[in-house]
Amino acid sequence: MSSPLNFPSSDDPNMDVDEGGTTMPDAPPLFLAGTPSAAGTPSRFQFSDDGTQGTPLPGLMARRAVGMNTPKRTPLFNPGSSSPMAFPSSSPAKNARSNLNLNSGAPFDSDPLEFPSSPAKPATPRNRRGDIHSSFSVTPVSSARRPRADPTASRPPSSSFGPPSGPTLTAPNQTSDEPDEIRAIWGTTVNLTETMKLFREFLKGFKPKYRQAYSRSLNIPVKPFANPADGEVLLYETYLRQLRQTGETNLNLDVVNLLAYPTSKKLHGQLIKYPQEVIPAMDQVLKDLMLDIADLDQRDGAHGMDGAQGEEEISEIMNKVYKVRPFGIQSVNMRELNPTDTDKLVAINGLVIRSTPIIPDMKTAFFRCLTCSHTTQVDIDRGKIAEPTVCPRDVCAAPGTLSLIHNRCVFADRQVIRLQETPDAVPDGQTPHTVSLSVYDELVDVSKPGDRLVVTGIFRSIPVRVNPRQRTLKSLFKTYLDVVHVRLVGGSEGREGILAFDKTTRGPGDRMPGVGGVGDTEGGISELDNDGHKHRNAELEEKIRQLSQRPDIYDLLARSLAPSIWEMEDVKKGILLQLFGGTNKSIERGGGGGGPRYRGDINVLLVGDPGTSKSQILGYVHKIAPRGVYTSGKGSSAVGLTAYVTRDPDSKQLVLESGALVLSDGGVCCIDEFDKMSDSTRSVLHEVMEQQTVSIAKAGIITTLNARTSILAAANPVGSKYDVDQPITRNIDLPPTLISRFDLLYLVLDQVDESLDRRLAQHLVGLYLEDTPDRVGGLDYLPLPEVSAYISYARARVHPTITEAAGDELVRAYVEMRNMGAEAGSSEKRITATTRQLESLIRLSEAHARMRLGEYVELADVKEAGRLMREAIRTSAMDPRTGKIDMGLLNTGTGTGQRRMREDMRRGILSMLDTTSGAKGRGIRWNDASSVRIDAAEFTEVIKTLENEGLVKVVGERERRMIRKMEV
Amino acid sequence: MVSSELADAFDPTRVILSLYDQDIDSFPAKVAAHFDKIFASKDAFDEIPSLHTIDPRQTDRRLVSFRAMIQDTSPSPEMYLARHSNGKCGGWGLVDDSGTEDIDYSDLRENTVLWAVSVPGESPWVGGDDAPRPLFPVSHPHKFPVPEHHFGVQVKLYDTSQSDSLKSTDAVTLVGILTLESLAEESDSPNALPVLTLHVLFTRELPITIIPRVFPYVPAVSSVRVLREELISWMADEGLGGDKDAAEWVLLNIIGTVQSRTPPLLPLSLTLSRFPASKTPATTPNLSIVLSHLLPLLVTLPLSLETLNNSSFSPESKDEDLHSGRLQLPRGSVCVITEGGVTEGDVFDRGVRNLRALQEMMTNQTLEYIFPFSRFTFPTDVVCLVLSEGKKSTFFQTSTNVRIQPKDGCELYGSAVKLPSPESLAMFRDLVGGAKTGKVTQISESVAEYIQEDFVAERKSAPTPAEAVTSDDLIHRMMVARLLTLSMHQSEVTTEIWERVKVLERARCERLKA
Repeated sequence: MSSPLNFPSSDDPNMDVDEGGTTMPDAPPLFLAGTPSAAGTPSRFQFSDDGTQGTPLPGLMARRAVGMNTPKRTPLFNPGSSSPMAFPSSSPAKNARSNLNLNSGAPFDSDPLEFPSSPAKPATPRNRRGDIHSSFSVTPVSSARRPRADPTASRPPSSSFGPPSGPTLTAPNQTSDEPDEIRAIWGTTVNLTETMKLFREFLKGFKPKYRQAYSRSLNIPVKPFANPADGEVLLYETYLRQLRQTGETNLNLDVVNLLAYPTSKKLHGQLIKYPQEVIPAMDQVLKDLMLDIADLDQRDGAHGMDGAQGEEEISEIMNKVYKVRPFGIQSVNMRELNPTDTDKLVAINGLVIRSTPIIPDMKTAFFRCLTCSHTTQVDIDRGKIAEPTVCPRDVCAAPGTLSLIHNRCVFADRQVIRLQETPDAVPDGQTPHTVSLSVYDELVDVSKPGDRLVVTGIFRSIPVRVNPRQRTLKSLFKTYLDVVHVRLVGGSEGREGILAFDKTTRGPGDRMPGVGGVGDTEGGISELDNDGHKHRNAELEEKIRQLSQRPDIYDLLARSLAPSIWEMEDVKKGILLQLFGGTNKSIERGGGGGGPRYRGDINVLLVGDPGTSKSQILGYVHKIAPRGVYTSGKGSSAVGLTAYVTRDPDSKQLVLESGALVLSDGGVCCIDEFDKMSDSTRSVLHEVMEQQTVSIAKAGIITTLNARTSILAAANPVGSKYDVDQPITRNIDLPPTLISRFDLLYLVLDQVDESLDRRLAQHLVGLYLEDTPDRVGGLDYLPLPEVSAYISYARARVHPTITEAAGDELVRAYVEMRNMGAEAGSSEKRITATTRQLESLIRLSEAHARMRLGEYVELADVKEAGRLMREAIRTSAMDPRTGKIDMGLLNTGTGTGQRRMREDMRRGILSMLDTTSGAKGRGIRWNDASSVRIDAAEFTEVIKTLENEGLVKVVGERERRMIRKMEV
Repeated sequence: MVSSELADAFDPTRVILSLYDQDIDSFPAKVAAHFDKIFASKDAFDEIPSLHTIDPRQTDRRLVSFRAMIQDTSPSPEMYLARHSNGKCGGWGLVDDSGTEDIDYSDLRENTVLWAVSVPGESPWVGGDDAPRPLFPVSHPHKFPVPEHHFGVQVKLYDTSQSDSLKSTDAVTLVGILTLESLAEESDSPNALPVLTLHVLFTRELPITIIPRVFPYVPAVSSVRVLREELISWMADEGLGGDKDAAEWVLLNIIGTVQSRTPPLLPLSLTLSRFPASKTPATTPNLSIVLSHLLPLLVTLPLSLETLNNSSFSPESKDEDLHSGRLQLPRGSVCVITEGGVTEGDVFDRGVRNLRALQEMMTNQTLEYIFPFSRFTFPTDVVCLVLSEGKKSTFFQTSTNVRIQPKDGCELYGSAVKLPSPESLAMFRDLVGGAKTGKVTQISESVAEYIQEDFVAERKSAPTPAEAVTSDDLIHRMMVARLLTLSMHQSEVTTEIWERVKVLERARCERLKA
């Protein structure tokens, strides 16, 4: 359909260029600026009666009206020839956009002629998108400057597609390096046409298989297509039909796809360097193609496209402004943006901290001469309107007579957003920077304060006043981004996960506008980011891979975790595995359309004597862990630990501020002095540790926030010292329900032992009195940043799956653990393992596999996980009275031995009450000596139970208490 | 030649214009190097008028130096036209007067914008005793940590390689061209008030003691001991009611600095408990005045429900303007916290946060800055002394608690502090400042062995396990030993020092039990 043969040969354009070169500098800027708009705007008012098939759209928004000129320059009603025609339509324009519509001038005849300035001038096929500043008034200026910037260039100074943009001007060298692109921009029609042609071919020919092949060539792991036919789909044709069916006008374009499609590679570079020229061209192609496809479908009689219905569809398409929204460029830190990026397409990420209400943004100012009623229009350029000082009409030329006519000006929706660097992007010790974003039209109100975004936009510099008293504007410049594409990062699929918004909190109206890339966006972005990072981090990655091959990697990492802490190897190993974490799983099908999420996070509790460096361990983990948050149980209210609601002083709205747990979403929350925490705070932790969410009901806001966090807590025993003769539940003042939620529980005891003490002292003296902390034991250590990098890498890249052998071992280990409870000759069973322990075992095995960067969980991983668990259970779940492991201690707070003992005691008390002489009447005294030493607390517990059952009654106070048997 | 260059340098605008060589990428570094070289000698450097001594209302692009603390690094960088259309150079507040409208966007370069304030808590003697302090109207008081008169200056840095190294709370001397300009962030608003703006030519980092000190102190060791005793006596007599033990603990604490973060070798924090309440209306303890004569950077933070609930300890960014907090202090500062003003009442949310921020600084030497939707932790290096009336601090857990035992009838507040002779005072400052910059470099095998054996023996002899010294106790003693060594201007821990630490510790514990 679109035959390239219809394009004008390249010779002509060259000639044209020369012409342009000579004529353009003479043209006053206003001439250029005013003209196109004059052609465009009036059509809004004239549209319904100017004879086109366009349906009158009285309520059409300004921004749509802005694009009304577009249909006119394409002979739309002859679909068969539309594309070849479309190209010629733009072809003469290579030197000035204002020339573009020479051969499609007919519609202009229907323009109201009361604007004396407009009719004679050719119109511009410009796309007045808010984000793509057309800057024609600047064009001659910058072209005038060109000779100075590049005196040797014989290139014609002016061109419609010659931007005033930094890039072309910046680098005279660049011009010689990349003659192709420069020509495209300085624009012979051929090359601009070629750009359009290439894009058209791309849209018509791109198939997912190209992307797959491209990814493979970069060694990016790709998912095979479920069905070979999936790779052969004409992706963008599908999207285009989708656009028509949904009435959307925005096409999200993953620029990596441009790279992946063999013939459109060049477009990628052009798009990034000269977005404000290339994007409008793409918009034009998109619209042409929309019409082509609509026409094709109409002829084929596709559903909903036959006859009058099809006509209506087509005319509706003509009335729309289609926008290509490119994304998928490697995003950079906003600090890395520099002047050379001016007017280029860049992508940055950050956190929205403020956004303005919608601002009606003047795109075109409409002036009328008070003397002769001549009207003229001026486009906005870099935020400024150059108000004409003199009536442009030669006959009149009256100075200062032009006044602004507000209701004839063209406005668009605009919003200014302040984007702040995300905490992970800020260099150490620096405060975050912010950058302004201007978003337009459909992108207004897509993001809200607190959202994490990846935005793609054009980097701008605009002059500001240094001093209010000075009129000079040229010395200082402010920068901002004109946004063309916004992507919200977050939700469960977000790579970062922090401060992610809950998708369910957004109404359907808040959807990202546009079609395309919806399905492949996520994959596309992460792949792209990955290969971007690869260049930067290739070395690091290589190093990590090498490290992972070391046979002693496990010990090395554990050792490096907290180099100043002596011994406690198993504790360090447990915490190391916590840092790696298991994989998160969710069951695809199930109640509520997707089952619950099974946490992969491992929780660790350290209980021990004061002065055993527990806080130090927490401090280290806080430093290493991605998103580590450190908090002390004492003095932290439930509010501080979770999230609280405040009223925003600006908006007077209630806003939620995240506390420690939510902040550490996707990381590790270190809680010191866990036992000192208030009950209400602890109750929040119950939810966090099993459901991984925080529910907040405050000040009328009820919401659930994600808190997918591992918890590393440290607690002190009840007395100043851990009493080894008591079970753990007696030693720490924590509810058993909470204790059981920890996968690993370590007792860190301070035992006096001469040789241990000596080695400990030696370690500490070396560490604290000598300025060479690395002397310790002659072992090598990884520096903390490397440990951190290793862990981050493993967490992001490695998602091990369980092999069959490992699965069998898991089952075996679990059964074995449970069997430990079965004693020969006893009908009673101690509980040694519950499903919680099985889950922990799985998580630990996965973490161990991840630690060695293994794709699969193997037998050895399960073995080590089992060993660690047994070690932890042995120290924590051992019933000191029986010397046996009993998980009941941790799960319910009472061990089997204890239960049996209580039963005995109960029988004893009852028989005592029956047999003791005189006990019938007045009962027995509380303090009556028992023949064996009994635990006072246990005794109270038993009596309480008996009392509840109505078997005994306690009368009296304190020492005089009497236990009486109730008469039935 | 050099002297003429020096004379010329006082018209920096002309020098910049004459240095300009069209290479706009390397030019800022060239300017910095040029001026840095001219003012390399201390004499030449001292000739630069200080912002503190001139009338800043007459800015007229003059060369000034400013001893400052970087307060806010968050303003977004600006772009400036590095090459004007008339071929002259841009930047440093130079304006293109050619009148043409065209802009070559490839000539844009980036400059960093910061906010700097005069160094908070700087003792008057630091700037030279006779330095007059003109009263210039305080602009932007919210950007200064303490409620006092100060200078706040917008700083523009053109040598961007250098600007990344400037961080919040860094103390530097900035040398540059002074102008009045509107605030970068507000330049759009029509009623933006002009602020003092310093276009930086070069910077000099200030040492932790602001004035350079020498370690070890030059005189012989024996005389250091004598001097140290004199210093302790003076501190005890004037600030602590004659309690020499307490004075020694105060001395050990104020010389503490962050030696390393892994392992954490942080300065200790000290509570002086049973510190009597003021009987007079004066609330500033004499100790603060004594210390301000010794230390270059001292801040007194009088805690009360009012300060806790209504002031902000952590810096907080509001509307992209980083408001300072009471604890945004340069490294090397000493913060005296008095609990005497606290009365019964509610501590609200902000108060609790403030207390946590201060506790965090004491234990971890970090301070959280609050930004919208995120918090950033910054390293600090500030010594905290808590003065408490009770047996221990009401709010804080400090590494050391010393119960003060002032002589009867000693007034700890409001009485005039008797200064020693200027020569002695200068030597005291050398002693304290030198110790603060010093490092313990080594420990001999025999001393290490001695300490280890001591620890093992002590643990063995403990009557019950609960009373045994723990590894934390050992760490604490070693930290004290380090400080004691430094206070004697030695660089090696000896057995003698170790025994002295144990004596000090024992005496301290005895007092606590009493």
